[in-house]
Amino acid sequence: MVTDVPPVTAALSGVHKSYRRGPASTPVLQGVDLTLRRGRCVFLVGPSGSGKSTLLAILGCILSPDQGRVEILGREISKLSPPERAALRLRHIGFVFQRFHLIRGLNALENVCVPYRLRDELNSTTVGHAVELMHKVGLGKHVQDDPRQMSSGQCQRVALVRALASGAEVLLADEPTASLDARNGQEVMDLLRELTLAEGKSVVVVTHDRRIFPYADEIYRLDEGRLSTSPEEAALMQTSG
Amino acid sequence: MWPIAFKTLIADRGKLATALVGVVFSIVLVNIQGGLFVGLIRKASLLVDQGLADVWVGHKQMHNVDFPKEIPRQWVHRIRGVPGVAAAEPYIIGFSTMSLPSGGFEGVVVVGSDRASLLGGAWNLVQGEPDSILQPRGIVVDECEGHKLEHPQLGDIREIGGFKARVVGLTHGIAGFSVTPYVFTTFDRAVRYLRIQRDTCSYILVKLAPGASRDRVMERIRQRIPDADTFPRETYGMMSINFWMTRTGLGISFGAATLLGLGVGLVMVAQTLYASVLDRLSEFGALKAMGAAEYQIFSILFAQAVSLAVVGAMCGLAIVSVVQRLVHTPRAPVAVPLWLSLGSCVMVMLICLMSSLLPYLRIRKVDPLMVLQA
Repeated sequence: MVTDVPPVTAALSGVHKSYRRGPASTPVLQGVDLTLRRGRCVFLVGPSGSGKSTLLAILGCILSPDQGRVEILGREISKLSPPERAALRLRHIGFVFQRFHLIRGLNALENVCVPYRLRDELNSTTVGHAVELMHKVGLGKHVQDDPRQMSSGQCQRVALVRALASGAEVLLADEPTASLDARNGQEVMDLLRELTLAEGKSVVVVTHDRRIFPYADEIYRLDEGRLSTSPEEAALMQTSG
Repeated sequence: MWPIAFKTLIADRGKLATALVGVVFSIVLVNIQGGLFVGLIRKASLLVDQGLADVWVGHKQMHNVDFPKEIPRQWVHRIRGVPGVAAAEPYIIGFSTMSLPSGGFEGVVVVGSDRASLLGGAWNLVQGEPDSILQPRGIVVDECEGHKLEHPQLGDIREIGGFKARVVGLTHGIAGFSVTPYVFTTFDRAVRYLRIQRDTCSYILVKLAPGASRDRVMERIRQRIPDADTFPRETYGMMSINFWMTRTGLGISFGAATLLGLGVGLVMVAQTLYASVLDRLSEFGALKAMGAAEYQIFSILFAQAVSLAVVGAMCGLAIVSVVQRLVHTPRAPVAVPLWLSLGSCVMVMLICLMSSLLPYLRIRKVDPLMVLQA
């Protein structure tokens, strides 16, 4: 019997990471193994300071591990220079930040098009694609709006479209629903799932929000730098799934 | 990245206004200070610049048009015989005193030119005719020196060096670098007013024949009169300017004020750009996290700095033009030459670019990890 296993987009094995504060070294990740596959949505949960953001930063090629191997889309990141990692992020990794980090002074569409601009790919086709995505997420009437005049939910959708519009294969979302109410949070997760998984992207969501656990294909708990599957969260995921 | 730079710059209107004020301040200060300086220092060579002579011949140690040394007048004949010389006329400049209607006296610089050619004579006459000076006892003074000479009018009789003089013309804007008013008259009359020998003069002004080589004519004059010095008009004008520059330290004081203006502009622009960057650290962090290259980040700051410089310089030059019209007087002329305006714009552009380096160094330290940390 042959089972279709989606291709791997990112693989971490034996990843260790410590932060040095003065003479002391504080371990944050201790031997983390994780595999991301296309079309799968992985949730990372755990208490504050457990290393979720660090793990997300390593997956996003922002940080390098002290030990272990990290492969993103077949490339070993420890062998890449900082500019090469930045280029990898620009081409293949999309971020949805907890606090949106939209650029003041740019309207919603211009914010969405920032990755195109960074990639020197801003043209009528890419702008059209961005507008289409904005319509898809219900921002059709807000294309020219100033994000400062938009609600948190709308801003998070702008941030989501910004991450998606660039065509990234790996999407990393840091507490994407933390600033949103239940309805908006659900809408954002619906969109994230629909728009990413349909296109075979790998999604990693760092969250404390138990309401969105049903959107996960896998949930991992990070505790004291160690990654494990959690029966409790898995139960929540399956109950609603 | 230019659209991002422009739009983010415009979004912070308060900071934009502060930075623009800095640039405008620098441009206005440099141009007005520089313009006052140029206007003032040009007065030092006024007689040379406006004298219409191609070559000035004088004493071996001639260094400033207003302070000549006497030379023999008969050199005129030897110079007239030099091939290439169309005209050579004696010219005299010296200090004397003029009586005032109130009973007082005022020091004046008497300028005497040949009565036939009037080479080196008054210009910009606003009252009287150019040949009025040929009238008996005729003198021409400048209306702008009216407060010193107690507002002379046409027909007024004064005494200069104990001899009567009659005002036959008024000029506008002939004010020398020294505070002493010029009085233009004929050579013969000037000799009397200055109480010097008729066989001496201060300079011999030379007009060249069409097509004559100035260098060759000067060389021949030097050969004929080894005791004389000869300079082209531009050179002697510059020598007169340099005399005041080096003797008074004028350049240093004006230059220091100008540098101060540039320094203030630099600080204001740097501080504004830096404050703007501090406000937007997380946005720059997000750009870095998204994969922006260093040059792209720098290009945002570069574009902002260039925009500030260009807009600020244009506003500044517009203000300079207005201020120049308002404050320019013959006594305190504001002469803003093109090189000064262009130079100040280039300086401001460099300053703005330098100002963008400080915030850039701050952004270089921004860790994109910050945007993942709540």
